[in-house]
Amino acid sequence: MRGIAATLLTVALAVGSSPPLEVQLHRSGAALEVQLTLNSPLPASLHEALPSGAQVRVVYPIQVRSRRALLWDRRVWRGELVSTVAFDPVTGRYRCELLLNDVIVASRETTSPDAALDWLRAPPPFRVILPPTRHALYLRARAVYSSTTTWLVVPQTEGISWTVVPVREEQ
Amino acid sequence: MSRRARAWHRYRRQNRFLVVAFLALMALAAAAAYLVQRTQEASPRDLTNRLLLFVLWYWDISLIVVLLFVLLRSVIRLALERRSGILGSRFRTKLVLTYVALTFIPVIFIFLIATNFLQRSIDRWFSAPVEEVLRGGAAVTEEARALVEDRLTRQAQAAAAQLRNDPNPARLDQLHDLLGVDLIAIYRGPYLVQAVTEPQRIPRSLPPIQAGELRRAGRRADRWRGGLLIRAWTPINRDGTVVMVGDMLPREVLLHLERATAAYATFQEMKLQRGSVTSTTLLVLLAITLLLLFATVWVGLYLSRRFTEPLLAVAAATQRVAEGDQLEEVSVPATDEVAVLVHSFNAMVRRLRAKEDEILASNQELATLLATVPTGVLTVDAERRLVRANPAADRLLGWTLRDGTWRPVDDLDQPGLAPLHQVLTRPRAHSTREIDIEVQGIVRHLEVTAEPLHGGGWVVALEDLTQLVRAQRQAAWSEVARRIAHEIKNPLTPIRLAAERIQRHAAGLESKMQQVVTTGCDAIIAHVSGLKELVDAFHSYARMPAVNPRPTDLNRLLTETISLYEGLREDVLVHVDLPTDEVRCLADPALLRQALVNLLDNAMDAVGEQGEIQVRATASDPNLVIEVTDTGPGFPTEDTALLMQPFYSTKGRGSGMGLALVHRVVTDHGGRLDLANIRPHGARVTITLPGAVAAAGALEEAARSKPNGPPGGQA
Repeated sequence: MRGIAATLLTVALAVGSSPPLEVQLHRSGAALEVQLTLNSPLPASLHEALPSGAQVRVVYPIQVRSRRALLWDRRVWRGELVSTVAFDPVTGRYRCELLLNDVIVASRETTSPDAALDWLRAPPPFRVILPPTRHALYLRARAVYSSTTTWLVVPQTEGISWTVVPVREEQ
Repeated sequence: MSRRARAWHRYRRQNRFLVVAFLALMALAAAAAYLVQRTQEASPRDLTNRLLLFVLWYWDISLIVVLLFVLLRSVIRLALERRSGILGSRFRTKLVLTYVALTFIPVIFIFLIATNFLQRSIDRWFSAPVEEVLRGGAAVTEEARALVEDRLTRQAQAAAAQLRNDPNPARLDQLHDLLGVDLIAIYRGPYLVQAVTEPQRIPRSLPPIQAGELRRAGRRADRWRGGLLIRAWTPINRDGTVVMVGDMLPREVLLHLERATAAYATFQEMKLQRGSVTSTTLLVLLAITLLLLFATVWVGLYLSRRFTEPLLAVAAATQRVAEGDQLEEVSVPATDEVAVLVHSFNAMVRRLRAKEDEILASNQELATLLATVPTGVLTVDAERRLVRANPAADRLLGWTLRDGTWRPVDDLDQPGLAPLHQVLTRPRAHSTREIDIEVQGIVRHLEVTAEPLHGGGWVVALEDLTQLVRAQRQAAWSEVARRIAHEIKNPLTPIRLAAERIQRHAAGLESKMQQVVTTGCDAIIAHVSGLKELVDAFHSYARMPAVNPRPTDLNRLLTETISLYEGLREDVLVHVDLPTDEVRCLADPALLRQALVNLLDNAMDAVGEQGEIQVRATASDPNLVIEVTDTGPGFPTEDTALLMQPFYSTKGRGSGMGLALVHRVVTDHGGRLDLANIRPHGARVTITLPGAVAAAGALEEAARSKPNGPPGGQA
């Protein structure tokens, strides 16, 4: 079963020349470095809101799970990576921040709008520490541009669907 | 506890719910106001927080469910009560529907208006003119900064040109004064070589700048020490020396610029979350509306129940009173006019209860009177279809089921009771009539008086005059007999003595005359003797003693009496058919024997020299029947009443008192005397004594209780 899933995943990754969310993983022991690259275009509303000084963000929910034979997959780690960009019309610079579970892990300032958008699409890599496990791991991630509600109260998110990537040893 | 304290305690208990409901409503209103305030102050991110949305969503859903549950429960309960016909359900339904309509319509109307107003306010908030104004403010900030940067860039280029020609550091002061900038400095690489600043506007330290930026001309704006420091720099020569000029915008200007840009940024952020902001606002408004509806509906239901309960209790009690149930006072908490109503009703109930007791006692007294009065009383309904009798009337009519229930008037439409049926079906007010009815062979003479009732119907009184008429008739005949006896008996003795004297003195007359006188005197004496016997019969009838019934051996009485006639005539056979067992009856043996003798005398006269006479006695508890049958020619007339009158005789001899005496003896015993002819020839006389045969103990008891009356109770 596990082999079939891995094969299908590999075939899917190989067939899709440019997946909406590209995930690059580098594992070294318990540390896992994650690099996310969003290939799908950002919504027009973000482009419009960016020069106004509003803080625009792209949220990347990330889950690392371990596969189990007879039970459902166990969640090993979960986090929310938020890449924010806010233009300061007073100074004329874009303030870029990267938060992992509400903790700033990277930041920069730039005067280039393209660089600011690149910060949203391809945030800097970050590192997480995984608990020891003997099961095979995989990572799920997606990108969320905004959260809205339909019918007044039903939450609905705008983004791309989940991307699943296996976590291999010493990648 | 004093009366005032009890009243205060009752008042507090009754109003506790209202106070709690009011406090809860106030607390909810305060919480809603706080929530609205927090919503207005919260950032767009807070407004769009999922938790807040879910809380509001489930809060609204819970309120809707609870509200629907309360309403549906009340509606279903009212519908069931209304279908079951429970008193007050219609009134309560109208009250609840009215209250709900009065509550729902304005609240929903206000909700719709407020929703529309909020929607339009939000639309106006995000309208194009507002966005243009805010965008203009932000653009002014950028352009102002760009203008300052452009000016500083030109000034830096001019300063670089001056310093390139005259690299004397003292030139900085001159250039500072000449250019009028707040800062002029020389950098060599990343290091500050020399700087001239406006001490009142530029602090001593400058914000750091990366060396890479200084390699070529550039400009930069930094928030520094509360103000905005805008700098521009240009290389002086190729060795990395750079001249930098700068101006410091004061704190007030920076604040204005920041407000302008922040307002536009906030606008854009909220524009991105516009749907969520609208949803949150509407949810808060919906929650407040539902809270109001819930509170008002609940309070309305409670108030309707509280207001209607005393009224419905009084109405139910009134209905119970109307339906004839037991009078009960109402015990419900009530205030104001409702309390007055409850107290008035209870007072009315007490008064009615006293009146009912009085009427009940009067009815019981009347019922006892009707049950014990000897006069029969019949009550006829207004349609004259039903009749009800008191015990005396039951006895008169021979009704054994003496339960006082209504029965059809047509039950009386039978031969013996037809006159009474006619009176009951066609009564005449204030009329008194005398009728004869026959019940079980007994003819009764009744005086019937009919009176209409106020509420419809009639009361008919039946006075049994049978004994009275009989007594009056017998008294009249007795008086006649006494007078005749008195008038005839007195001259008889002188006549007889005179005839005997004439007969004694006739011996001296010639033979022919003597024979005539003697024969005449004999005839006179004989007729005087006959007249004396007649007078004695009259005298006997007039002075007939009262019946003295006592237990009598019937067989012995009959045997002794009949033995007088057996063998009296050779060709007259007397048959006797008596019960084999000993029969003891309650009768006056002397009078009964006298009556039997009269009957046997008449039978012997009827059969003549040859014939048969049969005497049969049957005793079927409690009646005694004695039949005397002869083979004579029978009675000359079918009018048996005439035959039983005194002085009536068809035999041409006798006093005509035989059957009259027998009839009197029988009727004095409470019995009945029947006369009938037998085809082809013969006659039968039947004596029926009801109630004459009973157990020995009962006879003794009856004899002691009625020493001078008939055994049948018809004294």
